[in-house]
Amino acid sequence: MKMFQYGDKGEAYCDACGAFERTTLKYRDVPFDDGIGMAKQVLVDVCDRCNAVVAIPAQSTPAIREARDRAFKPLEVVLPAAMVDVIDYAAFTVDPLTTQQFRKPLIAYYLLQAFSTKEDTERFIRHAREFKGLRRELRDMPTKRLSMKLSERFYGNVVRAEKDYSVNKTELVGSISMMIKEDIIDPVTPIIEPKLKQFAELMTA
Amino acid sequence: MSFKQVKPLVLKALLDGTYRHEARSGISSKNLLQMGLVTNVQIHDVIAKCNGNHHESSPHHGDKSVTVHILKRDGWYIKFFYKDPNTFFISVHEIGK
Repeated sequence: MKMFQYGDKGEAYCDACGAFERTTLKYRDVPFDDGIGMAKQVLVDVCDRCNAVVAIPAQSTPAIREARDRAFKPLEVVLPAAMVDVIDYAAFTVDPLTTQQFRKPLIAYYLLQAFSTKEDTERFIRHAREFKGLRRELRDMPTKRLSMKLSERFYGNVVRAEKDYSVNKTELVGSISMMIKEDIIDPVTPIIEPKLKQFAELMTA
Repeated sequence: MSFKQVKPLVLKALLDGTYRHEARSGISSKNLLQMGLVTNVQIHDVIAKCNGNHHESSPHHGDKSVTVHILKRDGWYIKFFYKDPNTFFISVHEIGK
């Protein structure tokens, strides 16, 4: 693998100049063309004539990928307050040292878990149906807003779940809250996956 | 340059990491090679299987002496040009996506 260096000269097509121009490799912040995120300080070919970013060498791909993974998308739902409390209390049960910061990893963990096996998916579908049935009853209950930012990659799981199981985001997170309740809140001895405990420990390390 | 002439050059560039991606209005999020969502080896293997039946070409819009090559094979759409000594990818994405 050939690694280019800052300051290396080359030639590339510059759209702004409308011609092939001499270029120099420099570190620049470059936005993604769809407006989601920005790769910061990546090595790029800069036009010597107009200073525009005109090309990007292969070696910048890992930095681009990392920047993209960090480009977050918001997930915001309003749930019955009791369901949010379930998530928070479950996080506390997994590891009393965790804070509300553990909400997101816990929900994310259950989201992945919900579609990992046929049984888990069936369980999710059952809870989703139950949650939908309860929506009217829950309407007058106090609510809480649950807001988090997900990486684009992880957000893809949310979009996929919405599409594949015909649920909206509220129903998705509500169903996950019910799964969490079933595992961690309802049993006398909570059912907590060892890797979830380890992860919580890592977060507070 | 014809596809026959340019094929060994693009294959070599993919393996030794000397290829580049065009950046017109930032990083092209649809270019899966640039985004790291497909590997250089995977694209190398697709191009290696391409022949004239999978190939189209057109002159570069900014310099008619440069040929832009378009390959469609195994569900992949790959658009690039070679300007000595560099290979520039314009687009690498899955057809229909």
